[in-house]
Amino acid sequence: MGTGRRFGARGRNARGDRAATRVCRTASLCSALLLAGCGAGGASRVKVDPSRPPPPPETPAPARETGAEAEPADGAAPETPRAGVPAAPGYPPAVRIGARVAEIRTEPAEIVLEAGDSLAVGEDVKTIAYDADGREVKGIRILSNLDSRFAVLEDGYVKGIAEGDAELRMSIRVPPAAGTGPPEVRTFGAPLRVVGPPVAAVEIVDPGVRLLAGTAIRLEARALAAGGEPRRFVEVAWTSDRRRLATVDERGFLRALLPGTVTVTAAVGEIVGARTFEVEENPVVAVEVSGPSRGRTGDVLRYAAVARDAAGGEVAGAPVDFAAAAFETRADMGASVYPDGAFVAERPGLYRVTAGVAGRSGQMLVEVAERGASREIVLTGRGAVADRPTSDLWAFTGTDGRDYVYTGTHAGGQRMLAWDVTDPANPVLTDFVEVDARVVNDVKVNDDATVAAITREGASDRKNGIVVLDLADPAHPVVADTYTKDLTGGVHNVFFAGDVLYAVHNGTFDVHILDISDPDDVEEVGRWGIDRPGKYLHDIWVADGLAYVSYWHDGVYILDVGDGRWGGTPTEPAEVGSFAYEEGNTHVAFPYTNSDGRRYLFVGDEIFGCDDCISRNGHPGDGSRGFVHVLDMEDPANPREVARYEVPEAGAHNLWAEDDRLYVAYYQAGLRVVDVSGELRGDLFRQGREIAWFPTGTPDGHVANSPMAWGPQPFRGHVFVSDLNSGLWVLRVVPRKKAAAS
Amino acid sequence: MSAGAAMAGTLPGLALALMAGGAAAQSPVYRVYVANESSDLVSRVAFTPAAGAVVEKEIAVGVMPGDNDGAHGLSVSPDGRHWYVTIAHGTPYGEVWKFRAGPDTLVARTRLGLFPATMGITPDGQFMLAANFNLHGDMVPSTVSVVYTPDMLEVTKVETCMMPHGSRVRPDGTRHYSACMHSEQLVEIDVATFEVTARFDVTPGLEGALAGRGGEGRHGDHGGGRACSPTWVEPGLGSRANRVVYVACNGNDEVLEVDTEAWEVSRRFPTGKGPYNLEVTQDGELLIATLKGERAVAVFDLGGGAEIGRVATSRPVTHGVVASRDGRYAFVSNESVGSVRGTLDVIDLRSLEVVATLELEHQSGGIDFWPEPSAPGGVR
Repeated sequence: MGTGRRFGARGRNARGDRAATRVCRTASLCSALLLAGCGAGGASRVKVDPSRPPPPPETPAPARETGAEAEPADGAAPETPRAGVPAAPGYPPAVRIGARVAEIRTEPAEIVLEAGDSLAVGEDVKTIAYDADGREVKGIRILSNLDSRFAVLEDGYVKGIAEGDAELRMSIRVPPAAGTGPPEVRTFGAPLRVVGPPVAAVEIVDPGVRLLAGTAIRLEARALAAGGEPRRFVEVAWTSDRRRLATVDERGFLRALLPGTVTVTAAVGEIVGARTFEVEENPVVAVEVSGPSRGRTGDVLRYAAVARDAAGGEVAGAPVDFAAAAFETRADMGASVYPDGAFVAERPGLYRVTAGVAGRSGQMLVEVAERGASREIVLTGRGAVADRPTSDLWAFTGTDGRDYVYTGTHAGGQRMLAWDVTDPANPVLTDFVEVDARVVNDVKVNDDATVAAITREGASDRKNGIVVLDLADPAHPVVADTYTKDLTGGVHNVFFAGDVLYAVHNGTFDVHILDISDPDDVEEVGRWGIDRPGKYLHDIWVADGLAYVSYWHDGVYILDVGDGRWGGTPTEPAEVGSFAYEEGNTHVAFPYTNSDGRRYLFVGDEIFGCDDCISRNGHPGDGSRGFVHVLDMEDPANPREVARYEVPEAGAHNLWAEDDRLYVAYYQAGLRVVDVSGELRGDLFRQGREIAWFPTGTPDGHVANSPMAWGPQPFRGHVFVSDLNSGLWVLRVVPRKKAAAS
Repeated sequence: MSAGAAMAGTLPGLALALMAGGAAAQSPVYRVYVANESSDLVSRVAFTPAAGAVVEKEIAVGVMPGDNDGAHGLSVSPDGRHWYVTIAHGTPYGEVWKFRAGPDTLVARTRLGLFPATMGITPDGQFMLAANFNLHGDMVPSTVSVVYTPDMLEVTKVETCMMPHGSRVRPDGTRHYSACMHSEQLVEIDVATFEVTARFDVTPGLEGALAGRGGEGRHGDHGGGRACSPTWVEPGLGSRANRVVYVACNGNDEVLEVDTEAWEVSRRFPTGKGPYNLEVTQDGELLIATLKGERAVAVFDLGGGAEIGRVATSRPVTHGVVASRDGRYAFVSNESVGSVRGTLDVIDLRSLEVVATLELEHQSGGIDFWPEPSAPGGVR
C-alpha cells in the first residue's frame, strides 16, 4: 500500500514526482543533456536565403549547413572524416561525422536505477559513440528517448517508475547510404533496468507441514525492503547445508532424503534468510481420501486426506500431494485439483482424485455430471435506438412509482434518453436530455431516485464535466446544474454514494469527489489517485463502504470510503489493497457476495489492439478481447485471483452480479449470464457455468446485425441491456420448470 | 463580403454538395483528408469545381469503440505519399498513425506524448514534429515529439511549454514553430539539433523575445487581463518565407505577424472572435484564419495588410483550413456541436464565396491537402 494519494478539498497537483532524487527544471540544462559531445553550437541561429524555394517533390532535400559547422558542442575541434568514410559533402559536420559511428554505448553499459530514483543523462549516464576500431567519436549529436512504463526520460533525467526492464534509445543522423538525399537516422539501444528498493531481509515461509523422508515440498521465499514492503522480480539462490539429508533446487523444491536436521538458506544477493527443518522418518503407510463422489462441472469439490501410520494412527502434518486424472482419453476431459484439495471439472466424466505422501496414496472416484446451468433467455421488449450509438444504462424506480431506464449515447450522441419500462414489454421513450457533448458515456441515479448524473466528453468548448439532473419528474428529467470545474478533460464514469458523487476524470486520471447534496451547487470536496506517470483511470464502483477503482495499466484499487476499518471516509479514501495482472486493460470491477457468503470481485478487461483477434476496423491488431477475472475478496487487503470467465471469441465490457448470476455485456458476444453460485475456481466458461446468452444484434440497428453489448442490469425480474449498435434490450431468463409431482 | 452559400436545412447523404456549375470533365480535382475526432473516421474528400465535393472514402482509425480515440491532427507528407493522423486521447499516451495515401492502408503506429495534436513535417519528409497538447489535468510544460518518419521512430521529445498547439516547419526546413496556449509563448526549435532556440512572449502588450524563461511562461491573463492564448503558428511563404510566422491569438481576437529575425511583432491583424487555425497560400499573399467563435473564416491580403473578406461557414466551431496549392480554394473544416455532424466548406478565394459544402462525420477538425501529381499546383 501507500502508492495512492489522498487529497483534501480542492485537491493538489496531481502530477507530483514520486521521490525523484534529482530533478532538472531548466530548459537549457535539459536540452544540453540530450547532446553528447555537442552543446551551444547546435543552438546557433541560421542565416537563410529567403528566396530559396523548398525542395522539389520526389527530390531529396539538400543537406543543410548549420551553425554547428563552426563549433562542435563540447568545444572539441570537429573531426575530419577518415579515409574510407564517405566525405558526404554538404551535410552538417555532426551528420558527416556520424558516418564513422559503429556503435553507441552507455556508460555504465547497463543502466540500473531504483524505482523513484533519477539519473542525469550526461552525468550519471553517458552516451558515447565509437567507431569500428573502438575509438570514441566526438562531435555528433545523440538524441535520447525512452518509451516504457517502467521509466521515463524527462528534463534530461531518466526516472525509475516501477520495477521492470526498458531500453534507452539513442539516435544519430548520418549521411544516407546512397550518398545523396536527406540524412538518415541510425538508432542504438542500451538496456535499462528499474529495480525496487534494496532487499533488506529474506524470509523463508513456514510451509506448515512436516518434512518426512521421501517427500518434497515447495518453499517460498519473501524478499523485503527496509520498510517491510515485499520485493518482486528478485532472483533467489537456494542452498541446503546438508545435501545428504535434503536437497533444494533452484525453484525452491525441498526434497527430504534422510532423517536429521537441515538448514535451508535463500539468498537474494548478499541478503540471506534461513530456516531449519527436521527431516523425520516417514511413518506413513496409507493415505485415506474423503470427499464427494459426485458433482457437477464447475462445482468446487473439497477433498481431505489423512495419512496413517502402521498402527492406524493419523500422521498429522504430513505433506500431501493431490492429483486428478480422467479415465476418458479425450484431450478436453479437463479437471484440476489444487494443492488445498479443491477439485473442479470442466467436462463431465469419471475422474480419479489421488492424495499421496511419498509413494503411499489413496484414491477416490468422482463422477461429474453436466452442470445443467443453461436456461432459456427470451426477448421481452426493445427500445430501439438506430440513429446514434448507445452507451451505459441505469434502471430504477422513480419517485412516481414507475420504472425507468436511462441510457447514454456515444460517438456523436449528445443525449441521455429516458425510457419508461413499467411495462418491460413495451419500453416507451418519454424524453431526452440534450447536452453539449459527443459522448454521454455514463448515467447514474442516486439511491432515492431524486438526482441523476450524466457524464460529458467531446463538448464543443472542451469543458466537459458532468451534468446533474433533477428527477422530480423522472419521465422528463431536467438539468439542475452543469459542473465542469477541473473536469474539463472529460468524465467517463461516475458513481453515487449518498450525497457524494465520485467522478472519473480523463484529465487528472484521479477520482474527483463531489458533494452533490445540493444538486444546484455541486462542489469538489476531495480527490484520490495513484501516483504513477502514464496512469489511466477508467471506472469506479462503490458498495458497502468500499470503492473499486479500475486503473487501466495498474489494476484495481480497493478504497475504504466509509467502511471505516481502514480509516477511510467518503471524502478521504484510504487505500485497502490492489490487484494488477499481466493482461492489464483493467476496465471495470464489480463486488459481489454470493448466497454462500463468498466474497468476490469480478474485474473485466477491455482489450483492443490485440494482434491475434478479429479486426474491427480492418487494421491489424484492433480486435476486441478481454475477459473477467474473479478475485477472492475474503481479505480485501489481499485479493487473490481464483477464477476467470472468458468467452473465447469476444471481449468483455460492463458487468453486474445479482442472485448468484453474473451478467456480462460481452461486446460482440452479446449478453452472457453466468452461474456464480458456490465456490469459484478455474475457467467458468469451460466449466459450463454459462446460463444463457443473447445476441443483441438486429437488422435495424445503428450498425445492422452486429451485437455490441455495452452494459447489463438485472431489474425487477428482467435483464436490461444496452447495446452500442442497437439501443435498449429487455430480456428475461426463463426459470426452470419444476418437475411434475408423480 | 459575401457570407457564402448557406446550407438549407439538414445535409442529407455524404455526397450532397452545392454545385458551382460548369463542365465537370474539364475541371481539376482537389483532394483533402479530414479527421473527424468524435467519429474516429478520416474522410477523403474530392472537390471538382464544376461538380462539387464528394466523400470518396472514409477510413476508420482508432481501436476503442467504448472510448473515443480522438483523431485530431492530420498532415500529408510533402511528397503526397503518406498521411499522418494523431490519435489524441490515448490511454493516456496518444499515437500517430501513418497511412499510405491513396489506398489509405495503415503503415505504422507510433506512441507519442499526452494528447498529440497538430503536426509539422520537414520539407524532406524525414521528420514529423507533433505537439503534445496535453489536456490531461494540471498544467505542466509539455513536449513536441520528433518522429523519424521512414522508421516511424520517436527519436526524442523536446520540452516546450504548457499546452503546445500548432506545429509547423518553415519552408527552408531549418526551424520548427509551435505555440503554447497556456504559456503565452511562441517557441522555435532548431531542426538540426532539436533544441529550443528561441521563445517569444505573445502576451498582449508584452510581446517580445524571452530570455531564459522555461516552459511555464506567463500562464496568460498578465497583459492587463488579456491573453493571446495562441492556438496556431503558420510560417510565411513567398517573399516572407523563413522571415515571419503568423500566430493566432485565440484569446485576443488577432493574428500576430512575428519577425523571427528581429523577434518582434511586425504587424497585427484584428480578426473576428476566436482565431484558431491559420493557412498561408503558396504565393504567400493570402492569410486565412478560421474564427472558431464566429462560425467564419477571415481572409487577409498580406501585401496590403488588410482583411479582404469574411466568409461565414456552414456550421459552428470552425476549426481547420488548408489552401489548394494553386491558391484558388480554401478548404475549411467545421466541428459543429454535439450530435450534429461536422462539415467541409470549400471557399473560392477569388470570389470569397462558399462554393461547396459537404457533411462529414462528428467533430471534423484536422485537415490537409492531398496533392496528387495530377492535381492543380502539383505535389506539395
